[in-house]
Amino acid sequence: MHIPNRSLVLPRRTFLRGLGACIALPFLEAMTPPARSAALGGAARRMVFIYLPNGMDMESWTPSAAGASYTLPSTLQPLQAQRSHFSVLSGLAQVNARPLGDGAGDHARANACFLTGAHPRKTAGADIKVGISVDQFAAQQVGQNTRLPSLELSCDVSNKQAGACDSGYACAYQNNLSWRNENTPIPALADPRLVFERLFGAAEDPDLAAGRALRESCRGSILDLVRGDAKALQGSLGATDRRKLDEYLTALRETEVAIAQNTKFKTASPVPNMVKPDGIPSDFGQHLKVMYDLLAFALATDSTRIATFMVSRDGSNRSYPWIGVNDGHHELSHHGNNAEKKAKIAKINRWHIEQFAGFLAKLQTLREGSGSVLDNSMIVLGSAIADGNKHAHDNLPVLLCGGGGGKLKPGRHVQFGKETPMMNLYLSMLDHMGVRTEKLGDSTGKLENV
Amino acid sequence: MPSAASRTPFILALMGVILLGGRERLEAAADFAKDVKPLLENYCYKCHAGTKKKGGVVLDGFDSAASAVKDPKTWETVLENIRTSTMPPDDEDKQPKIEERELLMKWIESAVFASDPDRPDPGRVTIRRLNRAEYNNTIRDLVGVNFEPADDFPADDSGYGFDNIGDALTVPPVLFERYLAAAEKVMSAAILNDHKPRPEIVQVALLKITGGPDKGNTDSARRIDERESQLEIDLPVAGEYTVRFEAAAPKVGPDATRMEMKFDGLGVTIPHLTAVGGGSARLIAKVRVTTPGSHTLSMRLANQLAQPEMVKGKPVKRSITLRKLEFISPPQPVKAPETQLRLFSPGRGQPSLDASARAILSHFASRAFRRPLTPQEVERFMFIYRTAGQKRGNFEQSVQTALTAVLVSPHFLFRGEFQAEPDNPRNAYPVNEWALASRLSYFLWSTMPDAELFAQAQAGTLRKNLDAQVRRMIRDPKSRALIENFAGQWLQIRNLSQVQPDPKTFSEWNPELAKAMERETEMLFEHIMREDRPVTELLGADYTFINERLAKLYEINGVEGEAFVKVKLPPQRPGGILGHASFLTLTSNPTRTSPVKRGKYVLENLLGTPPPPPPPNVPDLNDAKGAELKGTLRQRMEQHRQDAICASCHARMDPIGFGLENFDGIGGWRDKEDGNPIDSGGVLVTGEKFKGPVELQRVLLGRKRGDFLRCVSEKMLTYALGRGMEFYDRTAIQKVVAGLDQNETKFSALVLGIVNSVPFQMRRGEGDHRLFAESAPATKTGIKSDPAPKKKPAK
Repeated sequence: MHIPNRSLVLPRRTFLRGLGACIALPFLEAMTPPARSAALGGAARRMVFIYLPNGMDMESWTPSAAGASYTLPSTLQPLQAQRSHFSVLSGLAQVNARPLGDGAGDHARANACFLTGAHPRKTAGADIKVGISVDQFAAQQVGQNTRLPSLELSCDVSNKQAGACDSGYACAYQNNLSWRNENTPIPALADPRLVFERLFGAAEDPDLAAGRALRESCRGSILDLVRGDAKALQGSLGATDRRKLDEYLTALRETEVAIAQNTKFKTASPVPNMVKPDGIPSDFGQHLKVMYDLLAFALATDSTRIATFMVSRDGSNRSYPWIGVNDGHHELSHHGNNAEKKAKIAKINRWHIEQFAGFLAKLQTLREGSGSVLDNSMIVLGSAIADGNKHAHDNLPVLLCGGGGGKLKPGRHVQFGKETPMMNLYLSMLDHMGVRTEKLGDSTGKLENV
Repeated sequence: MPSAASRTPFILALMGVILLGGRERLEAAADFAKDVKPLLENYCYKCHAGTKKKGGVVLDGFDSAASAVKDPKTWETVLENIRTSTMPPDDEDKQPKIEERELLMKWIESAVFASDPDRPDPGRVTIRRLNRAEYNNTIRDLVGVNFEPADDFPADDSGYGFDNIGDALTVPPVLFERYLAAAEKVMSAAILNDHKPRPEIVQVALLKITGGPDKGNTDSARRIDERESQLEIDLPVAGEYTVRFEAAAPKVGPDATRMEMKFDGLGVTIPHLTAVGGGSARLIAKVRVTTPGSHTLSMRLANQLAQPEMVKGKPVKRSITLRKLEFISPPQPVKAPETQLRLFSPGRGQPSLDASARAILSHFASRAFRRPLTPQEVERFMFIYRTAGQKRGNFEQSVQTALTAVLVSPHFLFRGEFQAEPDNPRNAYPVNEWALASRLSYFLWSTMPDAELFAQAQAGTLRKNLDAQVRRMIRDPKSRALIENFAGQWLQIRNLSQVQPDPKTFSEWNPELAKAMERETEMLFEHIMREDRPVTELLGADYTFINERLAKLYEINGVEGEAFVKVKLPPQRPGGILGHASFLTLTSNPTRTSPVKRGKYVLENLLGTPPPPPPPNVPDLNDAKGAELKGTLRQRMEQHRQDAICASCHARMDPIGFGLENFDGIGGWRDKEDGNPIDSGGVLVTGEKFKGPVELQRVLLGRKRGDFLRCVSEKMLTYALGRGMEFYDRTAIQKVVAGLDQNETKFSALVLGIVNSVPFQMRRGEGDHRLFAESAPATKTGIKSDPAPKKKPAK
């Protein structure tokens, strides 16, 4: 196999100030927009899926009227300025997040189901199985058009999560939104530094500077050797172990592709005006902001066109003392119709929408062709739980944002029929991205009116 | 009429029964038709027979023990439900007597599950890739570099409560990229690429700084105030140095925090400190060093007072906390690092460079793969060495490239265990000594075997010397990994960095206190491990380890400073985990305690009798159906529990949690909640009465002692094997528990019981347990080397 003489990580750039005060504030507006308008041609350019945990206070989320002239409910008011750039979609459901005979574990199922539309197999570890997620389905078809086929983000520092997860479900279901196939989740990055390095390369390590050329020219031989090792090893292993080695071989192949993609897009990569973040901020609001910034940046630089962002895993018991909510979110979500608790949930929801509005505003300022990055995007924000008190998995809170390169008709509240599969929305989005498929998860067809 | 094949396990089961002890033999001899079936008819058929299939369980299809053996999953469910008194549901009028429950349980355990004790099913562990902790430790021991490359890897998913479970550890593409990058980075650090001059970095031990604030300083947090703090430092060469520091300075007032710095008495220009989200800022300054040797750096906070007026009678002050400080010298000529000398030492005295490379590679790869390599395998790496040479790599670089390949090989990243016929479940084999060495070292140390274990495996003497080796390994400082990775996950104290008690409700709360809580529990576990104390002390120690922060929380006098000391506990506070602030905080909500979470934790993690999960869509507390609930948390919950669907499970969890209500949401003692006196008395669902936490602890140590021992054995076996427990592991677990019982529950007996257990010692081919169970005669000889413990652990 030919491995191009190219680093796995991008070379050091002038913006990497290794020393000096590090403040994670990207100045996206100052960035030179990449010349790419020619490639647009009236298609949706990118899809992003953002997950908020524990459902919403639906009373302050759902507009009372359908159509374009609805009144923004209190939770969505922070989006006033972007009103014509998103639609509220009501009536969608992920029925596979329901127990269906498997008992408790609605939070794990909600996370696992959100992008797969599949019912996760209840297991604490062995034989994990759910389904391929919409983002990975798209990435496997059109991911080669960008340097990174997809990007997975999260604000959960899941490596610290110990003990069992939700009610007999393996933690993989709750930790991951993206699944490359029904058995293999794609872990999300939570450390802004690692996200930055994935997007724009690590700072040059002095140890690595020397011998770089030799190392890069030998990578192909090394990968060929270990591929041979893996294949030979498979011959002496049982069926499950062979599947683990398959994962290894797939990952190896995709690494080769990534190396090649790095070379291919080397010259096209714009230089960001951003200082590399320095680890995970202890303040959640700061963390969320820098992740949204990095996501905006990844899209604007066309480093990837497909992304998922799990703001927090479902069941998160985070408290929000900076807005006066000192109780845990999950604890509150079982509000028992207590007005005070519901008000606190609405407060949390609204705060998250404020952060999201900042992200959309940023995408609006980033020009691309004759419009903005937002105009060419399809961004879903939602949860696979509606009212957390009942763990309802229908009538989900969903926003569809952006113009989808002219394919979407934002600015409305659209009410769908009872239990319309959420996957139908994704099927339409795939269609707009030029990814054709008849079915994904429990989809029954496309959503025409979005 | 059952076929011959299906009758075999029944006969085997009977054989097993005969070998059991006297009391068990009587009960195990229960006959299906005569003793068991009437019970099922009487208590279960109402919902689990004919067309009624509640929960998917149907019981009228079984007509004999032999037919039950064919469906172990169903009977495992039945057993768990009977054991925990979940079934029949509380609202059924007909409830079996305790003796009837026991008869049924014994029958399931013996007739359905127990196999020939000489030939239990070892089960099968999915090939395990190194998790992040294991990768870091293995690289440390294999190469000798002291950075932790896996910290940049994506997080490992966990299963069964642990992050070392083969099935749950996947290889996503991004991880492979990281493996390659890490291998290159590790080898570039270990072996010199070129001889260009490089700067030398002198790290400052923060505790060496004198003057200024003298309380609360640690090796990673040194406070600086308006008084001058000083540092004496030895610098290796003359020239211009970069001083790099990391400091936290929360923003107070409109102006940035300024630090004044002098080097050898001369002022140094440095940037203002800017707070970044409560985190740390990194700054640099330049200083000129005229002569090598001792120098002085002094620091002070230049603008401590943030505003002229007082707030609440107190001045508003800024503060600086140094987190890291280092001096970076001008570029210096470099020598080959220690790691290189060590990695290259097998190549010394070889007749040619190629022979030298072969010796280095062969030695390194066999340590990395944790087994000897075939000559062909070595040649594959020699090919990489030659390829690099053809591309004009020098000797060092060529060897380095081949060593990089070793670190990306699946033989390094996975712990493969080879066996004949891997897909034949009928055969079970003792794992070979190399694999056994790895099983031991990753269990007790989370890292590769050391030279001693390798030597034993090489000589084929490891099994023979197992007890001595295990004791040696426990004594070794590397067994700290067992505390961090096993205890940290089992007791969930790793999660302490994630909890967010409400600072308004709990003014004492801060991250340092959280660390102290974690440390207390770690130290108890460590003490039991290092001193070989009874594992029941995890529940019942009358001592604990605290520093000043915890002493304040616990209201214990006479402990000062950050250092931990062993203290005896006051009578009202139970020792062991039940009284640890770690557990009490982890199981609380931010603003209040959660008796349910506490009860659930005890049932799941200490007694191994998890409550059945809540039925879906049960409303939580405060679902008042119009009426507002009043009183203490306990009173409100008791009103809530009047709801029948909630009552049966909560009757298991709540009494335990209520018994601990004297502890607030971070483990401080209280006698009242919102002015109402706390009632911490209760009755467990199994009938034991108690009043307050100490009596609750006595109950757990008394009648629940067996549950605790089984639970800790199950948890540790899960961790040691890297797989979940299966019904056929019961025999192994019972043996571990028996070993604990015979040895005053000493920690070494627990570890030795696990290490000597059949599932730890053996593996079988992949496939159905039944195929294994039915194939006894054919493979009897396959397990000649008896894996069962030959001698009891020494007293």
